[in-house]
Amino acid sequence: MASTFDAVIVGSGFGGAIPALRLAQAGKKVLVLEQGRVYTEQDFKQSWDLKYLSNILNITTSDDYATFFRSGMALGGGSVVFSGLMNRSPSETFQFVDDNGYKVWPAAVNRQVLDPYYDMVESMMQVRQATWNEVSKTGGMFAKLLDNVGLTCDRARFPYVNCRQCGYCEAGCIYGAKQSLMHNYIPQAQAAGVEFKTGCRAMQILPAAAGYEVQYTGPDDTLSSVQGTIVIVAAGTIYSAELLLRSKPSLTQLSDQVGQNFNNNGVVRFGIELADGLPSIECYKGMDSAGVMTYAYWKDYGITIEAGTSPASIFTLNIHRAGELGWGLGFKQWAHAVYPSKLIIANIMGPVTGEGQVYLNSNNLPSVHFPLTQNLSTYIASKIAPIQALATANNAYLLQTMPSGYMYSIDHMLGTCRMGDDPARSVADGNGQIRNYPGLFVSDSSAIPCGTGVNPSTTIAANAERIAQYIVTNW
Amino acid sequence: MDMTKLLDDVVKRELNRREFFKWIAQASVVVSLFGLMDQISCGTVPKTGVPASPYMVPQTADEKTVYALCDTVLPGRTSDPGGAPGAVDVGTMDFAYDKFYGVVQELPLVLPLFNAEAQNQFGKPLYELDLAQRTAVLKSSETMLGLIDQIYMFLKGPFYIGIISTLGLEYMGDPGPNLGYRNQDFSFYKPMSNEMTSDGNLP
Repeated sequence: MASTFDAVIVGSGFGGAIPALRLAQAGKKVLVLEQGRVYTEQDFKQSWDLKYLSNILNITTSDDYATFFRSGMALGGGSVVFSGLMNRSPSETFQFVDDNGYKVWPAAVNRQVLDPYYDMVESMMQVRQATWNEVSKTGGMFAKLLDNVGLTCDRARFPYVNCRQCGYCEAGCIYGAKQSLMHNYIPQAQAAGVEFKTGCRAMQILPAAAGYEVQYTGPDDTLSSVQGTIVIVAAGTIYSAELLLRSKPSLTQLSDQVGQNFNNNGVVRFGIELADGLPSIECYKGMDSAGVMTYAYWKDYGITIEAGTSPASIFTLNIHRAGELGWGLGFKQWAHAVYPSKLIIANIMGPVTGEGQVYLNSNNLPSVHFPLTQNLSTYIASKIAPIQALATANNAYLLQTMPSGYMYSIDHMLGTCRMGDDPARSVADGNGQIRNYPGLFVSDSSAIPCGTGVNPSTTIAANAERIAQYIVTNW
Repeated sequence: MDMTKLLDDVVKRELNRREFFKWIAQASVVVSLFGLMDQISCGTVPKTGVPASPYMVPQTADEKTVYALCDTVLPGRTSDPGGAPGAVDVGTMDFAYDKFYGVVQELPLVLPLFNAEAQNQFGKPLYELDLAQRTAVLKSSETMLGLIDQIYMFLKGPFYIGIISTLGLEYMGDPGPNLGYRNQDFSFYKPMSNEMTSDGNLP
C-alpha cells in the first residue's frame, strides 16, 4: 500500500522547495522527491571538471548535438548551481506577445501581482543589491563601456552573505556565502515536518482514488509509489515535461502542449574583446555574475544584459573570433593574449517565442529539439546589433557565440508546461493547475511561459510562492 | 540522447563517402560523450590495456594519429614556436584513453579520414606531418566531419579546464581554485557608472 500524503512534490528547486515549506506551514503532510543527492559546502569543489559537475548537474544536449543544457541535480535544485543574480522581471515582460500573436502570460499574472511574492523570496533568501565594491572589475569595465556611449548600468541583486568573490558560484559555493535554498526554505521546511527523499526519480503519475499516485525509483533502483491528494510537478523544464509525457497513457486528458514552447530565456551569450591599452580586468576575479545588469536596451530592444566573470574554460571552449579558427596555434596565442586582461563575457536576455520541444525518444527518455529557427535567427540578429555598435564605439571586438557553429550552453530553460489563458496553447491555468486534472500542479521553470527579461530564478521562485498560496487557500 | 534514431538515420540514408564519414564521426563522438556520463555515474572507467599516466607516449599508428590531432588543435611545446604548452603537455592523451576511453575505441572509425586526407595532400599520414601541414589537413577535413566543434571541445578541455594538469590554466593566467579575492579593489571604474534604477530592479 502506497504511503499517502496531503502533497507529493517532485523536485526540490525553487518550484518545489517553496511550496513544500508553505504547505507544511499550513499543516499539510508533505513529501518531496528529489532525483539528486544532498550536497553541502564540504562536498563542493572549485572545479569546472565535467566529472565533478556531473554529480550536481544534469547535462544533456539537443537532438542535433549543437546545444548543451545544464540543470541542477541536487537537493535545492538550480539554487545550488545558479549564478545568484536575482532581479525581478520588468513589468513589460508580462505583456509579451509572441510571434504567433499570443499573449503568453495569463492575465492574472503580472509584476504588480508578483511583487508581494518577490518580497517574500527576497526576504527568505537575503537578496540585496550589490554594493559597487562588490562589482568585479569586469562589471566595472562593462559599465564604463556603456557610460562611454551615454548608457546606464545598474548593480544587480544577489543572495550573498560575506561573498569571497572566488568565481565558482556555479560549481557550488564552498564558502556557504550564496544563500541557496539549502540555507533557508529547505531547512525551514524540514523543521516544519516536510519529508525529503533524495536519489528518487519520479517515473509516472497516475490517477488514484483521492488524488494521484506517483511512481518513482529510489537510490537502489527499486520502483515504489506514494499517493498525494495534491501533486506538484517541479522537476525543471526538461524533466517536468518528461514526467508528464511519460504519464500521458494514464493522464489521457493532458494537453498536447506538454513539452512544447521550450525556450532559452532569449539568452544570447557574447564576448567583448577590449581594446588595447586599458588596465587589466582580471576577468576570473569576482562572483560568476560580474555584479551588474544594464537595462539601457530594454525600452528599444526588449533585452537586458548581464555581464559575467569568466574562467578560462568557459571562454576558450565557447568563443572565438568570427571567421577565424577556434583551434590551432593562432587560436591558442590569441586566447592567451586576451585572457584574463581584456575579456568580458555577457548574456543578452529577453522574452522570446518558445519554438523548442521536449519529447520522449525511442528509449522513453527526454530529448530536446532546439532548432535555430528563422524566428530565433531574427531575434539573435536584432538583439546583437546594438551590442556590435557598443563594441565598435569602444574600439572593442564583438565575440559572438550563437549562431557560430560552436556548442552553446544553456541553463535558462523555460516553458514546456506553461501556464496560460488559452487552453489550446497552455498546459496549466494561471494558478499552475494542470488542465483537466484538479490537484495536479506545475510550479517550476516549465510553467514560466516565456523569457523573463532577466535571469529567471527570482520570477520562478515568486511564481512558486504565488501558486503555493493558491493551493493553501483552495485545497 | 537518441542514439537509436541517429543510428537508424545512418543505416537508412543512402550515404556517399563524405556523408559516411560525417555520420560515423557523429556517432562516435556522441557515443563517447554519453558513454562518459554512464561511466561517471556508475563510478567506473574501463582501464584495460590503457597505458599508465603521466603522460602517454603514442605507440600504435592510431595513437600517433590521436596525438597528432591533439597537437594540431592546441600545439604543444615541441610544435609551438614560442615553446608554450599545449594539449599533449597536459595529459590530453591520457584523458582520452582513460576518462574518455569510449572515444578512442570509436576513433579508428574516424582516424582514417584524417590520414586519407593527409595522404591525399602530402603523401604521408597525419602524424608524420609538421604543424602547418597538419593544420591544413584538419581545415580541409572539417567540412567532411559532423560534430567537429565537439571534437575540438573534447581535445581542448583538459588544457583549459585543468582536468589532469593545471599547466594550461597557468599559461592562461587563471589561478583556478582560490581563497577568494575579497581584498581586491572592486571599485574599478565606479565613478563612470550611472544607474537607471534605485534598487537594481526595473519597475
